[in-house]
Order: sequence, then structure tokens, then C-alpha cells
Amino acid sequence: MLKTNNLIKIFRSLEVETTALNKVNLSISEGEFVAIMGPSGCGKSTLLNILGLLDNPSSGELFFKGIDVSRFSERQRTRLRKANVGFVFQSFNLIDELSVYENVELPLLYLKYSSSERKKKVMEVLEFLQIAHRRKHFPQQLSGGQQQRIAVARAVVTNPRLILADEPTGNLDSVNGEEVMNLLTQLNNNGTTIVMATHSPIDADKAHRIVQLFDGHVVTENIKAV
Amino acid sequence: MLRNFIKIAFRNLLRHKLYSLANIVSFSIGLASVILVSLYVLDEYSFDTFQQKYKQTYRVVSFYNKDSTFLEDARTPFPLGKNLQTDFHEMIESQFRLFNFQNPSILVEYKDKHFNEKNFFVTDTGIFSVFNFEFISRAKNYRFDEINTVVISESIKKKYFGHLNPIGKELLIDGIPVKVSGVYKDLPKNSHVRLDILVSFSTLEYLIGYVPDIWMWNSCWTYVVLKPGFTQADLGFELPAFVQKHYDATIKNNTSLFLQPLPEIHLNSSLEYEINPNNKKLYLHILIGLSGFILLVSVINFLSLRITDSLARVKESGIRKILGSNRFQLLLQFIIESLILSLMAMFMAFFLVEASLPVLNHITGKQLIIYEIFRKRIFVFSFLMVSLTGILVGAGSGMFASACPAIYATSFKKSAVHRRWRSGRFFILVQYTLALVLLIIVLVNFRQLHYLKNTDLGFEVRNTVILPVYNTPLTDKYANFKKLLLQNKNVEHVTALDNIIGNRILHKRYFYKKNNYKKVEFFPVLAIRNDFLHTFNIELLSGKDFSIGNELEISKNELLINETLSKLMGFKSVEDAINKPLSTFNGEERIIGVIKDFNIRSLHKPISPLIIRSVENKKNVSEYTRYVAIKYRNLKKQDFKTLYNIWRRIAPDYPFEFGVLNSILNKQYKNEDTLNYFLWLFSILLIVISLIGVWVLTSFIARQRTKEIGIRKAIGALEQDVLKLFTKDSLHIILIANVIAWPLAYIIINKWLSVFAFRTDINLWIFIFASVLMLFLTFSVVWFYALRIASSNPVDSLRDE
Repeated sequence: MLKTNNLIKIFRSLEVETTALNKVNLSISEGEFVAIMGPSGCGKSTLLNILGLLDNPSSGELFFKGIDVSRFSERQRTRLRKANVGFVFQSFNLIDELSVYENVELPLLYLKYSSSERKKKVMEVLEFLQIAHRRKHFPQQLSGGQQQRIAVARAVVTNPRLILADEPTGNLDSVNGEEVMNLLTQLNNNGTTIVMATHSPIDADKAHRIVQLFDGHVVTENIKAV
Repeated sequence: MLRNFIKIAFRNLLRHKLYSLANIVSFSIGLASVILVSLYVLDEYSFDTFQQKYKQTYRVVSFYNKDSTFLEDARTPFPLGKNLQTDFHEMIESQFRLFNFQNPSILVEYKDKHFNEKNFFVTDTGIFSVFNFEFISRAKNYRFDEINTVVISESIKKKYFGHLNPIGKELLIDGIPVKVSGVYKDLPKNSHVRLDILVSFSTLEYLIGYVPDIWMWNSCWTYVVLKPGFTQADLGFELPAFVQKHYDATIKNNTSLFLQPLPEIHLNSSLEYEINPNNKKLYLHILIGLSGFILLVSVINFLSLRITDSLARVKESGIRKILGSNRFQLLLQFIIESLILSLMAMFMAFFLVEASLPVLNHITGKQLIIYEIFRKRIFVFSFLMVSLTGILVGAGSGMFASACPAIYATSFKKSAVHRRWRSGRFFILVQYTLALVLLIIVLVNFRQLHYLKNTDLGFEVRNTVILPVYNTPLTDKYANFKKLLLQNKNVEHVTALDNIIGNRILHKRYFYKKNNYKKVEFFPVLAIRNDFLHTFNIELLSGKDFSIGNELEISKNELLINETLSKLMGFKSVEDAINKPLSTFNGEERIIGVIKDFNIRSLHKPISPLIIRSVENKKNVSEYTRYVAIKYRNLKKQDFKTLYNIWRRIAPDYPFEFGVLNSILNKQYKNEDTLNYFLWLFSILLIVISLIGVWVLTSFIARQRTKEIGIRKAIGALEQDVLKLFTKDSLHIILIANVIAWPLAYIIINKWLSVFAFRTDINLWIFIFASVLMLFLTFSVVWFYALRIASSNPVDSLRDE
């Protein structure tokens, strides 16, 4: 599904140049659950952003379902991202002015689904995540765990092929974190490819493969025995 | 999708109530200013456009120019109108004159009701083809020019007759009975002349025994109505020859006639002897400019507030982009929010206008109503303009946030936003500069108005009461009246004159010799009775006063002149003028004294030559005894009561009216008063808008620097160190604003003050005061906000991040 060739990402400011990713070669198959681990500043989030088509590499190639997207414009990336990629963030990134229902509905609005179709899909996913009874609430009225479940709901409502999760349990306690990880595992079991950046070995243990990053390099790749 | 945007827009606005309110208030202030000024200006421009033939109607005015005399007179001689119509009958459809005995009012009585009426005129039937008279009732076989008849307005009918039918009843006009032959609906107030009581010239003959037919006396206001197809230029071309044909040989070479279009009189005419004081187009232009100014600043403020809001939502925009929104959809969100805010501002503006109208009407003497907004299409224009502004502001403010890449949702760089917002400071700079410029102008204008009203006119205005006495028994019983007045120990002096000093004055033709050449000129002449110089404390520079104390002494053919006339006549010193001749057609008169210059008219005009003649010994002294001036030591409320009691003894059947000289003269500056009111109002509004902008900018910067401030405090910064951070930001803007504002304000003020013959000086302290005031107000807002942050727990700032 995803393949990188000698991926390099350099951040430049007025006086400083930082190489966040240094010749990263990575391949992720469809239906895989890959965890990316490493210390803070190793380039996990940067790699995730590039894989999720949020950013372009400085050099190297990125293939998304066989298409080289490394030099795509923001508009092209947005179009490709819309129905194919879902995101789950550490700080949830829900929109405070929207209710639970409306937050989850948002990607479907941008894909121009009709009102009835949107309602069907949103309710389906909210019921699946057992949070339908809170659909009229606003994010500020929910706990961290509930908010992250909403974020997951939003990420999956369009049935994306790929979900990118950046420290999804980073702001949660162990119980809620466990719950979110179970959700992701369940989604993966249903065929969704998941790439997850994490500090937590417990969370990483849920993945099929663990990629270790250090100073922008892939150091090791451990495939877990199933 | 659109419904979703609208729903989200309202929620966003409600969530940030204070910012939304700031947006609405600042924009609505600008809109309300424009609407109020529009109502006022449109009303002013509508003067004399309701008459059915206003486009073809012109007033004839005369200019006299010889040597140093330049007299622009709104009046013309009696025979002019009819002769114009005779000589140019192919061009002129009709003509009419207005004559009021050159008195500002005339006594009208009915049974026990008697008032001095200001809007009485003798006129011709031609007036009925111009003004749209709508008669409520008329006598059978009504004819306006029937002798001994009068037509009155509905207001006058109610005033004297109540609900009775006045047709056939008699009114006493100046003691002479005339029959009411018609009642017409009140004419619209937006006219340069109010017409309440009208009699024909045939009734004039009945009233005074003759109709004057002389070309030497500019006595009435003359109007002509041109036939379709003829223009002002067509008739204007013929006027020089007309003057040569009809005017007296002694003046025809120095007299010119001009035509004034009827709708232009109110705003473009400030000649001598206007029927009523007119306004100036310049003042309207200033008001329009000011209101546009305010609107521009409020729109700039609106834009900068919206930009602040969009910058604060960069992260949200990034999230939406991640979820699939395109740039246009993001932009649309901002546009809808701005549109909603601007429409709310418009409705708030209407409320502000409604609330302000009573005050505006009180200041201007008008009766403007808010429904004029709909009738005069102001509403449609406002709606379109406001909508367009909302759309453009929304698009402009959403540009940055919508252009942000999706990555900003996750790696949002506040420093990038902070750098972008430097361009937003430009808006604050513009607002601050404009507010400072206007404040300086307001202070100077206030000083100028104060100067106009309080400057030494060269004669005493304090503690002086003026009583109009013409057409009352007091003109004949003046001596007795004066004696009774002087019994009051608080009364210092009493005199009488034919015009109110400092207000209006008549001109007369005089001959004199200068360098052996005979000169003929029109000079302003004030006719007075004894004790004039003492009453008004006018300094005698040389010679002597008219007979003092003994009113039986004769001061025959003696004149006083002022310094300016003395110099004009070529005298090297004021002593040289004594005993020199000044002649009229009636004979030679002698200069007995030279007085210090004083302003005989408003300070709009420079000091002119002046002749003072005593009428104490004249046979027709009553004719010139029009105003009694009473100088008190220290005018008190009780004195008015005493005055009234004396009046009642001598003229019980006549209305008692009086004025304090200071107030009478200040009424000449009514237009300046109105302008001053608007200037103050706009200045305050502009400062409020600027302070809103400053407040929002400060809060935005505070949000952007929350973490920085928390860190600084954690490592030891005190409250004053935090205050310094905010002060430094604002100080740059303030300094640059002052550098721009001071010279700009100076240029504008200079141009404005050049309109006045007498002007105050431009003091440096005004600039300093305005700058300090703005500085104080701005830093009050900035430090109030900064202190809140400075005194908060640093942990809270860091945790927020």
C-alpha cells in the first residue's frame, strides 16, 4: 500500500537545518498494522505526516497504492487523502464548535454525501463505538477517552484504506488507552491498514511489525510472531 | 452544506461573544455615522426642490462694486421684477417678489392674541405658480391680489383661530385690519424661506398708502421663472444691458445683476440680507468626508478583527483540510461569518440612528425621521454596501487561514502567525493615526468656535439685553421708557438703534473727497440714539460723542466714523478726520469723532468701514428706534421681571420679547455649532473604534505569547517586566502615528481656518494634548489587559500550551 525510497525530510529555518528523516526505506502492505517507535525527536511524526500525505518529502519517493505522490501539490494530496486516509491524533483535534455527530459527519460533508447517507454512516459508526447516546454533546463535555473514540469514529466514517495514528493513547490513562487500542486492532482485523507512532511498548505490541527510528533512520524492523 | 456553514458561523460568533460584539459595535458605529450624516445632508440638499418649477426658478441678486465698497445684496429694487418680465417676456414666464418691510418680524393680532411673526411677506401672484400651495379653505371668488386680504398657513390659523374657520375674519397686521381669504397647508420646512402670512402688493398699497417704485433702494427679494427652453445664461446675458437701461446713472456702472438657481440658495448663498441664514456646502462636504472617514476606519477595524480571528483558527482550518475541505470551502466559512456580523452591525446601526435622531434634531432644528432611510433608498444602498463589505472582509480575512497547509493542524507554528500579524499592525497604525488627526482637528475647531463666540468684538456684549420695539408704542414713548428703566439701580445705560450691533446693518451712499477726487461709496450705517458709546463701551479715539445726557441738544448732521473708514478716506491720523465732510443726497454731514473699530457683523466677515449717525433730533426718529439696548451692571433673573413690568405699563397689548446680546450674536454661528457637534461626536466614535482595535490586538498578542510570558515569569520576570513587553509593542505604533498625524492635521487645520476672516492661532499644546490623551487611553486598554496576564500564575500559561 505504501512504499518509500530513500525518503529524506529536511527542515530549514534562517540559521538551522535539521534532517528529520534520512534515507528512510519502508514498505507497508495492505491490511498491515505497523507501529513506529523511537525516542522524542527521532522523526516519527514527520514520517507519519509524509505517509499520510500531509507533507511532502525533501527528496526521495513515496508511493501510495503504486502512485508516486512525492511531488504532489497540496490540492492533489487533499484529493487523494479525502477518502483514503483517516487520522487519529494525540490531542484528538476535534472541533469544539461542532457536536459529536457533526464532528464525525465532517469528512462525509467534504465528500458530498447526501444528508440521508451521512446520517446512516455516522450513526453506524457511533453505534459501533458505543457513543451514539452522546451524539448531541460537544467535545468539551466529554472525557479524554470519549473524545478519542469520537476522533477514531471520524477517522473511520469514510471507510478509509489507511489509518494513521500519532500517539493515540498519549493523552489517555491506561484504561481508556487500552480501549482505543482495542478499537484500532478491531479495525485492522476488518482489513484497515494502520500505521501508528507510539512511545508505548504495550501499544506497539498490538502491531504486526515494529519499526524503530532513531535520528531519522530506520534502525530495526521487527516482525512479530502472530 | 450551506446550512452547515451558517449554523457553524452562528456558533462561532456566540462562542466568542466579546469579539463578535466588538466586531458588530465598531462596524455599526461607522454605519450609523454615515446614515445620520446622509439623512442630514440629503435634507439639506433637498431644500427648494419641492416647488413645482424649481428647476426654472431663479433669484435675482445685485452686486455693487466701487473702489473699496463691494456689496453683495440678496435683494433688488421694487420695480426690477415687473420690468424684467416686461423686457424679457419671451423668456420669463412669471416673477414674484418678497417684501417684509425690512423688519425681521411684524406684529399680528387677533382678539387677545398678538405675536411678532417672522414669516410675513408681501408678494405677487406669481409665487403660486412656483410654491405648491395646497389650499384647505378659500373665500368665495377668492383672488390673492384683492385689496385688504391675507392668506395664512395652517399653523398660523391654529395659532390665532384654533378650530374656528378664519375665512372672512380680520387679522390686525401692524395695527391695520386685513381679511383672511385663504388658508393653505404648511409648506415643507426645507426651503430657504418660510411663508406663513402673505399679502399682495395691492394690499401693501392699502397698508402704507403707496408702493415704492424706486431703483435706488434694494428692498425686496425678486424671483423669476423662466419659460421652458431658456437657460440661466440666456437671461444672464441680457442683464448688463437691463441695468444700463433702468438703474440710476450714478450707480449703473457699478451694479451687476446675477441669477441664483432656487435650489442653490440654501447651500451656496451667503450674501448680505439673506432672508434666513443659509448653510454652506463646504460644511456638508466636511460632514460627508468625516462620516466616510469614520466608516473607512470602522471597516479597517472590522477587517483587522476578522483577520485576528482567522489567524487564531489556523489549526482548525488545518484539521478541516485534513478531513477533506478545499480552500474555497474554508473561505466560504469565513465569508458567511463576516456577512452575518456585518448584517447584524447594520441592524444595530439602525437602532443607533433611531436613538441619536432626537439629539440630532435638537441640535440642527430639523425633524429627521428614520423612515427616510427607506424612502430615500438609503436602506438599499446600505444593505448592498454592508453585504459587499462582509463578503470582501470575510474573503480578505480568510485568505491566510484558508491558504495554510493541512500540516498546521499538527505542527502549528504560532511564530509564523505572529510574523504574519505584523501586517495587521498596519491597520492599527492607520486607525490610530486617523483618530489622532481628527482629535487634533476637533480641538482646534472647538477653540475656533470658542474664539468666534468669545473674542472681543470691540464692544460690550455681556449683561446687555436687546428689546425689539419697532411697531410698538415704545418707539414714540422711548424717552419715558428709558427713564423708567434707569430707575433700576442695576441698569447702567440705555440706548436705541436701528439694527442689532454685531449682527446686521444697512448701507447708505455717501460722497467724500480723497486726494481731491470725489468719491461715491456705499457704507454701512448705524442709526443710534443717545448713550450709544457708553452702553456698548466703545472707545472714542478722537473728537467727541454726540450730545451726551441732554437729549434736547441738537446733533444735527453730525457723524461718527470708525478707524477703518478714517484710513479709507485717506486721513493720516484719526485727528485729521475731525470736522471733515461726508455727504449724502440730503446734504453735507460732518465727522465729529473717530471710534475704535469693532465688528459690526459676524466674524465670518472682516471689519468694514462704519458710519454712526444720531437720529435723536430727527423727525422720523421713531422709524429708527427699532431695538432698545439695556446695559446692566450684573444681569439677574429679577431684572427680567422688572423689565417685563415696565413693558406692560407702556405697551400692554404688545408681545414682550427680548434677547441677551451674547446669545443673539452666538446664533450667527449655528452652522459652526452643528459642525462642532458632529466633529466631537465623530472624534469620540473614532477613538472608541481605535481602542477596540487596540484591545483586540493586545488580546491576540497575549494569546500568541502565553507560553513566552509563562516562561519569563517562571524564570523571574515581574509584573512590570511583562508590562514593558506590551508597552514596547504599542509604543512603536504610537510614535509612527504621531509622526504622520501631526503634519497631516496641521495642513488640514490651516486650510479649514482660512475660511474665517477671524481665526484662532494653532497652538503646539493642542497637538501635545491630543497625543497625550490618545496615549493615555491606549495604554489604559493595553495595561489593563497586560496586568491581568502579568498577575496570573505562570503554570496556567504553560499548562495551556
